[in-house]
Amino acid sequence: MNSKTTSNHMAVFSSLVVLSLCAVGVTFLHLSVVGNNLAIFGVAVVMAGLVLFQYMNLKSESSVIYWLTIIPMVLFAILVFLFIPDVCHFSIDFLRGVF
Amino acid sequence: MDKNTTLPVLGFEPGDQLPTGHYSGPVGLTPGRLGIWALIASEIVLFAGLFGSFILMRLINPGWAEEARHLNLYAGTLNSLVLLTSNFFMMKSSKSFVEDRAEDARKFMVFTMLAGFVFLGIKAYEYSGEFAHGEFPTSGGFWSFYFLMTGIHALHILGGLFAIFLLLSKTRHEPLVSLASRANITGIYWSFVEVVWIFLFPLLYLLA
Repeated sequence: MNSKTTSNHMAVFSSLVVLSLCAVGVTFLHLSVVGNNLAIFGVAVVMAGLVLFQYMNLKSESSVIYWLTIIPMVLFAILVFLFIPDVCHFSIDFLRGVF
Repeated sequence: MDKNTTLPVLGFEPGDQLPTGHYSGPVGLTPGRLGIWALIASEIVLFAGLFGSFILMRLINPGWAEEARHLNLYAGTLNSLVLLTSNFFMMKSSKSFVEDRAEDARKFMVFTMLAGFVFLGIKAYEYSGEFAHGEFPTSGGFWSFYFLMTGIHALHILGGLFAIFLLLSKTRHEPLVSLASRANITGIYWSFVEVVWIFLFPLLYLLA
Protein backbone atom coordinates (compact mmCIF):
# COMPACT_ATOMS: atom_id res chain seq x y z
CA MET A 1 0.00 0.00 0.00
CA ASN A 2 0.63 2.13 -1.21
CA SER A 3 0.20 4.30 -4.05
CA LYS A 4 -2.14 1.73 -5.57
CA THR A 5 -4.69 2.00 -2.76
CA THR A 6 -4.29 5.76 -2.53
CA SER A 7 -4.93 6.19 -6.23
CA ASN A 8 -7.81 3.70 -5.92
CA HIS A 9 -9.44 5.83 -3.20
CA MET A 10 -8.88 8.95 -5.25
CA ALA A 11 -10.37 7.26 -8.32
CA VAL A 12 -13.43 6.13 -6.33
CA PHE A 13 -13.85 9.60 -4.85
CA SER A 14 -13.57 11.25 -8.28
CA SER A 15 -16.07 8.77 -9.74
CA LEU A 16 -18.52 9.48 -6.91
CA VAL A 17 -18.26 13.25 -7.46
CA VAL A 18 -18.79 12.88 -11.22
CA LEU A 19 -21.73 10.51 -10.70
CA SER A 20 -23.33 12.91 -8.19
CA LEU A 21 -23.11 15.73 -10.68
CA CYS A 22 -24.44 13.44 -13.43
CA ALA A 23 -27.48 12.58 -11.31
CA VAL A 24 -28.21 16.27 -10.80
CA GLY A 25 -27.56 16.96 -14.50
CA VAL A 26 -30.09 14.32 -15.54
CA THR A 27 -32.88 16.33 -13.90
CA PHE A 28 -32.15 19.24 -16.27
CA LEU A 29 -32.52 17.03 -19.37
CA HIS A 30 -36.33 16.95 -18.98
CA LEU A 31 -36.57 13.22 -19.63
CA SER A 32 -39.81 11.31 -19.15
CA VAL A 33 -40.76 10.63 -15.51
CA VAL A 34 -39.79 6.95 -15.80
CA GLY A 35 -36.57 7.76 -17.66
CA ASN A 36 -35.55 10.42 -15.15
CA ASN A 37 -36.27 8.26 -12.12
CA LEU A 38 -34.55 5.18 -13.57
CA ALA A 39 -31.48 7.24 -14.47
CA ILE A 40 -31.08 8.89 -11.05
CA PHE A 41 -31.64 5.67 -9.13
CA GLY A 42 -29.35 3.79 -11.52
CA VAL A 43 -26.63 6.31 -10.70
CA ALA A 44 -27.44 6.02 -6.97
CA VAL A 45 -27.11 2.21 -7.08
CA VAL A 46 -23.73 2.47 -8.83
CA MET A 47 -22.55 5.04 -6.26
CA ALA A 48 -23.74 2.91 -3.33
CA GLY A 49 -21.99 -0.11 -4.86
CA LEU A 50 -18.73 1.84 -5.12
CA VAL A 51 -18.91 2.91 -1.46
CA LEU A 52 -19.96 -0.55 -0.22
CA PHE A 53 -17.34 -2.50 -2.13
CA GLN A 54 -14.44 -0.04 -2.23
CA TYR A 55 -14.73 1.99 0.98
CA MET A 56 -16.58 -0.43 3.25
CA ASN A 57 -14.62 -3.39 1.86
CA LEU A 58 -17.72 -5.55 1.49
CA LYS A 59 -15.89 -7.47 -1.22
CA SER A 60 -13.52 -8.86 1.42
CA GLU A 61 -16.16 -9.70 4.02
CA SER A 62 -17.44 -13.14 4.89
CA SER A 63 -20.76 -14.56 3.67
CA VAL A 64 -22.33 -13.83 7.08
CA ILE A 65 -21.92 -10.11 6.42
CA TYR A 66 -23.36 -10.47 2.93
CA TRP A 67 -26.47 -12.15 4.31
CA LEU A 68 -26.76 -9.56 7.07
CA THR A 69 -26.98 -6.78 4.49
CA ILE A 70 -28.84 -8.60 1.71
CA ILE A 71 -31.79 -9.88 3.77
CA PRO A 72 -33.02 -6.41 4.86
CA MET A 73 -32.68 -5.18 1.27
CA VAL A 74 -34.74 -8.10 -0.05
CA LEU A 75 -37.38 -7.43 2.62
CA PHE A 76 -37.41 -3.77 1.53
CA ALA A 77 -37.98 -4.78 -2.12
CA ILE A 78 -40.81 -7.11 -1.09
CA LEU A 79 -42.37 -4.39 1.07
CA VAL A 80 -42.41 -1.87 -1.76
CA PHE A 81 -43.37 -4.11 -4.68
CA LEU A 82 -46.05 -5.96 -2.74
CA PHE A 83 -47.93 -2.76 -1.99
CA ILE A 84 -47.49 -1.00 -5.35
CA PRO A 85 -50.54 -2.71 -6.95
CA ASP A 86 -52.70 -1.61 -4.01
CA VAL A 87 -51.32 1.88 -3.94
CA CYS A 88 -51.51 2.43 -7.69
CA HIS A 89 -54.94 0.76 -8.00
CA PHE A 90 -53.95 -1.62 -10.75
CA SER A 91 -54.57 -5.32 -11.03
CA ILE A 92 -51.82 -7.88 -11.33
CA ASP A 93 -54.19 -10.27 -13.13
CA PHE A 94 -52.04 -9.98 -16.25
CA LEU A 95 -49.32 -11.93 -14.40
CA ARG A 96 -51.58 -14.97 -14.30
CA GLY A 97 -51.03 -15.42 -18.01
CA VAL A 98 -47.30 -15.26 -17.53
CA PHE A 99 -47.01 -17.87 -14.79
CA MET B 1 0.99 -12.73 12.50
CA ASP B 2 1.93 -13.63 8.99
CA LYS B 3 2.51 -10.39 7.15
CA ASN B 4 1.29 -11.97 3.91
CA THR B 5 -2.15 -12.76 5.30
CA THR B 6 -4.93 -11.31 3.16
CA LEU B 7 -6.88 -9.02 5.45
CA PRO B 8 -10.05 -7.06 5.01
CA VAL B 9 -8.49 -3.88 6.36
CA LEU B 10 -9.93 -0.54 5.40
CA GLY B 11 -7.60 1.22 3.03
CA PHE B 12 -5.90 -1.98 1.82
CA GLU B 13 -6.60 -4.20 -1.13
CA PRO B 14 -6.83 -7.96 -0.52
CA GLY B 15 -3.33 -9.36 -0.91
CA ASP B 16 -1.59 -6.06 -0.10
CA GLN B 17 1.65 -6.31 1.81
CA LEU B 18 1.03 -4.83 5.25
CA PRO B 19 3.76 -3.09 7.25
CA THR B 20 5.89 -5.61 9.12
CA GLY B 21 5.71 -5.48 12.90
CA HIS B 22 2.59 -3.35 12.96
CA TYR B 23 -0.94 -4.15 13.93
CA SER B 24 -2.45 -5.30 10.69
CA GLY B 25 -6.16 -5.04 11.34
CA PRO B 26 -8.84 -7.58 12.06
CA VAL B 27 -8.47 -11.13 10.83
CA GLY B 28 -11.62 -13.02 9.97
CA LEU B 29 -14.90 -11.93 11.49
CA THR B 30 -14.03 -9.97 14.64
CA PRO B 31 -16.76 -9.08 17.17
CA GLY B 32 -16.31 -5.40 16.34
CA ARG B 33 -16.87 -5.86 12.61
CA LEU B 34 -19.74 -8.28 13.12
CA GLY B 35 -21.27 -5.74 15.53
CA ILE B 36 -20.99 -2.80 13.17
CA TRP B 37 -22.47 -4.81 10.29
CA ALA B 38 -25.33 -5.99 12.52
CA LEU B 39 -25.94 -2.34 13.42
CA ILE B 40 -25.86 -1.42 9.74
CA ALA B 41 -28.35 -4.22 8.96
CA SER B 42 -30.75 -2.79 11.55
CA GLU B 43 -30.20 0.70 10.12
CA ILE B 44 -31.01 -0.63 6.65
CA VAL B 45 -34.33 -1.91 8.03
CA LEU B 46 -35.04 1.53 9.56
CA PHE B 47 -34.20 3.53 6.43
CA ALA B 48 -35.70 0.96 4.04
CA GLY B 49 -38.99 1.25 5.93
CA LEU B 50 -38.88 5.04 5.63
CA PHE B 51 -37.82 4.98 1.96
CA GLY B 52 -40.43 2.35 1.09
CA SER B 53 -43.20 4.28 2.84
CA PHE B 54 -42.09 7.49 1.13
CA ILE B 55 -42.08 5.86 -2.34
CA LEU B 56 -45.56 4.41 -1.81
CA MET B 57 -46.95 7.67 -0.43
CA ARG B 58 -45.34 9.56 -3.29
CA LEU B 59 -47.13 7.27 -5.78
CA ILE B 60 -50.44 8.06 -4.09
CA ASN B 61 -49.74 11.81 -3.93
CA PRO B 62 -48.45 13.14 -7.28
CA GLY B 63 -48.74 16.63 -5.80
CA TRP B 64 -45.63 15.98 -3.72
CA ALA B 65 -43.53 16.59 -6.86
CA GLU B 66 -44.61 20.23 -6.75
CA GLU B 67 -43.75 20.48 -3.05
CA ALA B 68 -40.31 18.97 -3.68
CA ARG B 69 -39.54 21.89 -6.02
CA HIS B 70 -39.43 24.14 -2.95
CA LEU B 71 -36.31 22.31 -1.78
CA ASN B 72 -32.94 23.96 -2.34
CA LEU B 73 -31.37 21.71 -5.00
CA TYR B 74 -28.06 23.59 -4.95
CA ALA B 75 -27.70 23.22 -1.17
CA GLY B 76 -28.57 19.52 -1.47
CA THR B 77 -25.98 19.00 -4.22
CA LEU B 78 -23.35 20.87 -2.22
CA ASN B 79 -24.15 18.71 0.79
CA SER B 80 -23.67 15.56 -1.31
CA LEU B 81 -20.22 16.75 -2.37
CA VAL B 82 -19.32 17.74 1.20
CA LEU B 83 -20.29 14.31 2.55
CA LEU B 84 -18.36 12.54 -0.23
CA THR B 85 -15.30 14.62 0.66
CA SER B 86 -15.75 13.89 4.36
CA ASN B 87 -15.86 10.16 3.71
CA PHE B 88 -12.77 10.38 1.50
CA PHE B 89 -10.89 12.01 4.39
CA MET B 90 -12.11 9.27 6.74
CA MET B 91 -10.70 6.64 4.37
CA LYS B 92 -7.38 8.50 4.29
CA SER B 93 -7.39 8.67 8.09
CA SER B 94 -8.17 4.96 8.38
CA LYS B 95 -5.25 4.18 6.11
CA SER B 96 -2.97 6.39 8.20
CA PHE B 97 -3.90 4.37 11.33
CA VAL B 98 -2.73 1.16 9.69
CA GLU B 99 0.44 2.82 8.44
CA ASP B 100 1.06 4.33 11.92
CA ARG B 101 1.19 7.92 10.68
CA ALA B 102 -0.23 9.75 13.71
CA GLU B 103 -0.15 13.28 12.34
CA ASP B 104 -1.93 12.29 9.13
CA ALA B 105 -4.49 10.20 11.01
CA ARG B 106 -5.37 13.14 13.28
CA LYS B 107 -5.30 15.68 10.47
CA PHE B 108 -7.65 13.67 8.27
CA MET B 109 -10.00 12.99 11.18
CA VAL B 110 -10.21 16.73 11.86
CA PHE B 111 -10.94 17.31 8.14
CA THR B 112 -13.62 14.61 8.29
CA MET B 113 -15.25 16.27 11.28
CA LEU B 114 -15.05 19.73 9.73
CA ALA B 115 -16.77 18.46 6.58
CA GLY B 116 -19.39 16.77 8.79
CA PHE B 117 -20.10 20.04 10.57
CA VAL B 118 -20.26 21.87 7.23
CA PHE B 119 -22.87 19.30 6.13
CA LEU B 120 -24.93 19.98 9.28
CA GLY B 121 -24.51 23.73 8.79
CA ILE B 122 -25.82 23.58 5.22
CA LYS B 123 -28.71 21.41 6.42
CA ALA B 124 -29.52 23.98 9.12
CA TYR B 125 -29.41 26.73 6.47
CA GLU B 126 -31.84 24.70 4.35
CA TYR B 127 -34.16 24.14 7.31
CA SER B 128 -34.15 27.85 8.14
CA GLY B 129 -35.09 28.67 4.52
CA GLU B 130 -37.94 26.17 4.63
CA PHE B 131 -39.20 27.50 7.96
CA ALA B 132 -39.08 31.03 6.53
CA HIS B 133 -41.34 29.86 3.69
CA GLY B 134 -43.78 28.41 6.21
CA GLU B 135 -42.85 24.77 5.62
CA PHE B 136 -42.84 22.81 8.88
CA PRO B 137 -43.06 19.09 9.70
CA THR B 138 -46.78 19.63 10.21
CA SER B 139 -47.27 21.33 6.81
CA GLY B 140 -48.17 18.12 5.01
CA GLY B 141 -47.15 14.56 4.24
CA PHE B 142 -44.19 15.45 2.08
CA TRP B 143 -42.73 17.81 4.68
CA SER B 144 -43.31 15.30 7.48
CA PHE B 145 -41.28 12.73 5.54
CA TYR B 146 -38.66 15.31 4.53
CA PHE B 147 -37.96 16.53 8.06
CA LEU B 148 -38.17 13.03 9.54
CA MET B 149 -35.77 11.40 7.06
CA THR B 150 -33.25 14.25 6.89
CA GLY B 151 -33.50 14.71 10.68
CA ILE B 152 -32.76 11.05 11.37
CA HIS B 153 -29.88 11.19 8.89
CA ALA B 154 -28.52 14.31 10.61
CA LEU B 155 -28.68 12.47 13.95
CA HIS B 156 -26.60 9.69 12.40
CA ILE B 157 -24.09 12.30 11.25
CA LEU B 158 -23.93 13.64 14.82
CA GLY B 159 -23.40 10.10 16.14
CA GLY B 160 -20.61 9.53 13.62
CA LEU B 161 -18.95 12.83 14.54
CA PHE B 162 -19.05 11.84 18.20
CA ALA B 163 -17.43 8.47 17.38
CA ILE B 164 -14.71 10.19 15.35
CA PHE B 165 -14.13 12.68 18.17
CA LEU B 166 -13.72 9.81 20.67
CA LEU B 167 -11.27 8.12 18.31
CA LEU B 168 -9.37 11.38 17.88
CA SER B 169 -9.09 11.88 21.64
CA LYS B 170 -7.87 8.29 22.10
CA THR B 171 -5.01 8.85 19.66
CA ARG B 172 -3.41 11.14 22.26
CA HIS B 173 -3.13 8.36 24.86
CA GLU B 174 -2.94 5.08 22.95
CA PRO B 175 -0.61 3.83 20.22
CA LEU B 176 -2.12 4.34 16.81
CA VAL B 177 -1.76 0.75 15.63
CA SER B 178 -3.86 -0.53 18.54
CA LEU B 179 -6.69 1.75 17.37
CA ALA B 180 -6.59 0.64 13.73
CA SER B 181 -9.54 -1.72 14.17
CA ARG B 182 -11.65 1.04 15.76
CA ALA B 183 -10.73 3.37 12.92
CA ASN B 184 -11.78 0.67 10.47
CA ILE B 185 -15.17 0.26 12.18
CA THR B 186 -15.72 4.03 12.43
CA GLY B 187 -14.90 4.32 8.73
CA ILE B 188 -17.44 1.62 7.86
CA TYR B 189 -20.14 3.46 9.85
CA TRP B 190 -19.26 6.81 8.28
CA SER B 191 -19.43 5.25 4.80
CA PHE B 192 -22.85 3.80 5.61
CA VAL B 193 -24.09 7.29 6.55
CA GLU B 194 -22.92 8.39 3.11
CA VAL B 195 -24.74 5.48 1.43
CA VAL B 196 -27.97 6.58 3.12
CA TRP B 197 -27.51 10.10 1.76
CA ILE B 198 -26.77 8.69 -1.72
CA PHE B 199 -30.36 7.37 -1.78
CA LEU B 200 -31.97 10.12 0.28
CA PHE B 201 -30.75 12.92 -1.99
CA PRO B 202 -32.34 11.69 -5.26
CA LEU B 203 -35.45 10.51 -3.43
CA LEU B 204 -36.19 13.97 -2.03
CA TYR B 205 -34.55 16.39 -4.45
CA LEU B 206 -34.34 14.73 -7.86
CA LEU B 207 -37.41 12.52 -8.25
CA ALA B 208 -39.55 13.68 -11.18
